[in-house]
Amino acid sequence: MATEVMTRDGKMLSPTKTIISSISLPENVDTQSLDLISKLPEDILCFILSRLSSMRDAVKTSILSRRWRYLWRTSLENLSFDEENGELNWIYGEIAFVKHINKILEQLDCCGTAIQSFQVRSDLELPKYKDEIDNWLQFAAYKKVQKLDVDLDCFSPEELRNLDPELYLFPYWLFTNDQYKGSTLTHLTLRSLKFSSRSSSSSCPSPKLKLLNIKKCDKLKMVDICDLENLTSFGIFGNRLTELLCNQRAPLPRYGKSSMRSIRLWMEKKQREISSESWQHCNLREVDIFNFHGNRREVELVWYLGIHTVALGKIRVHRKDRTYEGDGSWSDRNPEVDIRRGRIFNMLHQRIPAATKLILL
Amino acid sequence: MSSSSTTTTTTRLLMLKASDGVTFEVEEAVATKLGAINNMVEEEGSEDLICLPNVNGKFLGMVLEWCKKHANNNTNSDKGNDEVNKWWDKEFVMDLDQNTLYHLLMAADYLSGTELVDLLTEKVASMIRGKKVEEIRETFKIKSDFLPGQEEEIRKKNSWAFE
Repeated sequence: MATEVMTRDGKMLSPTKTIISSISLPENVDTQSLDLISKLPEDILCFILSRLSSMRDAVKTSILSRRWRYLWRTSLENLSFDEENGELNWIYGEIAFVKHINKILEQLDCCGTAIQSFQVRSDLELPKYKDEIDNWLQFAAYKKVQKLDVDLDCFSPEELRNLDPELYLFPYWLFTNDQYKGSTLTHLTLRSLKFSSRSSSSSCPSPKLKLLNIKKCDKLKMVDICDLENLTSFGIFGNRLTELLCNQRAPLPRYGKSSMRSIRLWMEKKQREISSESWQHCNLREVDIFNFHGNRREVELVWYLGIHTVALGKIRVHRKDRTYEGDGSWSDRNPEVDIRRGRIFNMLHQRIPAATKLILL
Repeated sequence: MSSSSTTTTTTRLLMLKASDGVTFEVEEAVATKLGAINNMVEEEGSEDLICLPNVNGKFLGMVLEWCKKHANNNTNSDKGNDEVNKWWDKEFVMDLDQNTLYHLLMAADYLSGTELVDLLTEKVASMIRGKKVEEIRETFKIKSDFLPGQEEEIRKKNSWAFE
């Protein structure tokens, strides 16, 4: 191969349109000194940058040459702003942290690219930075984020925590189905937030949600996950949650120092496999099971509840289908198939702990 | 040059013709690992000769070699298959020079070989990750064509990334 002539002479090297759009590079040209990577189509270059998994590495490419200047903006799919770990550990102080995020988001704002994940972990003072956080989440929603992770209390250890801290109000309405032409959110992890300034319950956002983790959201007392048909993983950790409304499709919450005292479960014809994941609810006292048909999975579920709780006082089995209509009101429907109490009793009484009362309604 | 594939009566053979006239005879199951060929086979059905005017024989050969390995490894239902594939992929990209890498990537993209594109873009990404700007320029022979002062201006905008 001819080498030296080509390296010094720029004329032969200058990129032409034909080279960019086709792969017919002359074989006899010395390619050792050619900048071939910059001739790759833009979508491939963006794909390469999106694989870097570091914002710093991606941003660095902006000064390689003019070709690369804006590529990083359209290729960043995963945004992580973690005040303590990762790439931002050089930032000192809240103001610098907030400014940094704003600066990056401002540059990304003009690109139409959707983002896959957005994470903010910080201990920002509230309500001082409320508007900033609102803007970030609005950005995430607008960019059709799929995985959202917001942790606004990453520093305080359990014992040093302020008992009544100012909590950030999570703008879940940004992620409901009617915002920005349908929600895209599939993974949601929230820590130390509140959901409503007035009530203590929350309706969940995006119906596409597959994973939901709620950590240390102390104000939250009741969660209704009935409408989350795609949920496969649900974790509640260290909350003061006392009530959970879910149907049988929803996964049972995973163990995490839960203070939950009651679960209301809705049985459906579409049966759910009980996960083999072990979970234990020390405080769970009452379980209500609605729309009980008496099939094998339902019986297994009752047995499962029995062995994974310590203080379960009552299991109430309702044959009626009961629907929560919000604001504390319920509507009852008669079961499609009538199953007699005696049969339910025979099915269940040996599968629950002796101390647990079985009530058939 | 044509690939030596074992002729079994059950599998259909396709002829792939590269831009320089080189033809390859490959089993359908191997060639259809490439999305573009899969589409052609499904749409056009009976056609056994497929012309690929955008890919040169040398690189088409390499792409097909990759397809063959993956098609073979996937038919054996051993659990260690993923490991074998990974190991083989690693070998495949290990000593690629940039010319080959570029042409393979273009060929894989043109032929919609998604997994191969993944493999090759990952290889390029690994050459960028954690490197200084000067090192990246050196690796890929990228020449800065910014106007005087322009580079400094861009650096300043995201100065944190260059510290």
